[in-house]
Amino acid sequence: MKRLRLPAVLDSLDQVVAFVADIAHSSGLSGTRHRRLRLAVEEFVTNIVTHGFNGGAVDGELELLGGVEPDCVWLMLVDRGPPFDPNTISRPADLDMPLVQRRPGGLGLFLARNAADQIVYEHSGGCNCTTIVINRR
Amino acid sequence: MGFSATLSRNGRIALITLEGELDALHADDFRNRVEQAANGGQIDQLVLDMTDLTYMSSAGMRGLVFARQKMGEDIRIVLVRASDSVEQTIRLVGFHQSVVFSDEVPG
Repeated sequence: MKRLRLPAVLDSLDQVVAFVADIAHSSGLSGTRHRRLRLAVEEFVTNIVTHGFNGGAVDGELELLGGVEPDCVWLMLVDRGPPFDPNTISRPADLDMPLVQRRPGGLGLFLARNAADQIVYEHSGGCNCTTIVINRR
Repeated sequence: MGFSATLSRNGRIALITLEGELDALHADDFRNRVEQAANGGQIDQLVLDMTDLTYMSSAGMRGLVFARQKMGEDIRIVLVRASDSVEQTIRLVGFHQSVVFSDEVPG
């Protein structure tokens, strides 16, 4: 299992991307599955920083845990922001509307849930624990 | 790998060439180029060359919404040589109704 602690700011994203690449390469994940893992992780990290830590907090902490199983890879994000269960977010209502009428945000978690094979959430010990799972084949 | 967005102009066509990985850290670069293109005189088309764009997250999608809203409905937005994964993401969120996919840069 790999582990990384980072300040809960957007600039941590480069290290998050490197952490994802490390797991993807050590598990031999295909390029497409690697991209899906990266997309899901980026969207969740951005969401945690933006909404959980009001755009970023250098004294806030984001922990990443990751591992490779025989049939999948997983990456868990742990943060002490306000409780947030991503499973309570519904599909954006405006997906069929023309772009001129769209509001600019609200797509990240939709994309993340679509990219991941499984998202598991639990609130434990005052922490949000969000696990993103990508099947290896 | 990083990201770059460069703007050029050919008559009434503004061309933004996107290279690398368009994630949340680089969304402002894209947005700034769109803003420059919008402020640089009358155009008929905004062309986004995605030949060397390898990744796009929702941050890039927000840039496309910004582009459409900044340019208005009459300007054609053309996405050139988007990769399968980028095109799939754009279709998934329904943006394909408001842009045109193309295999070549209009001239």
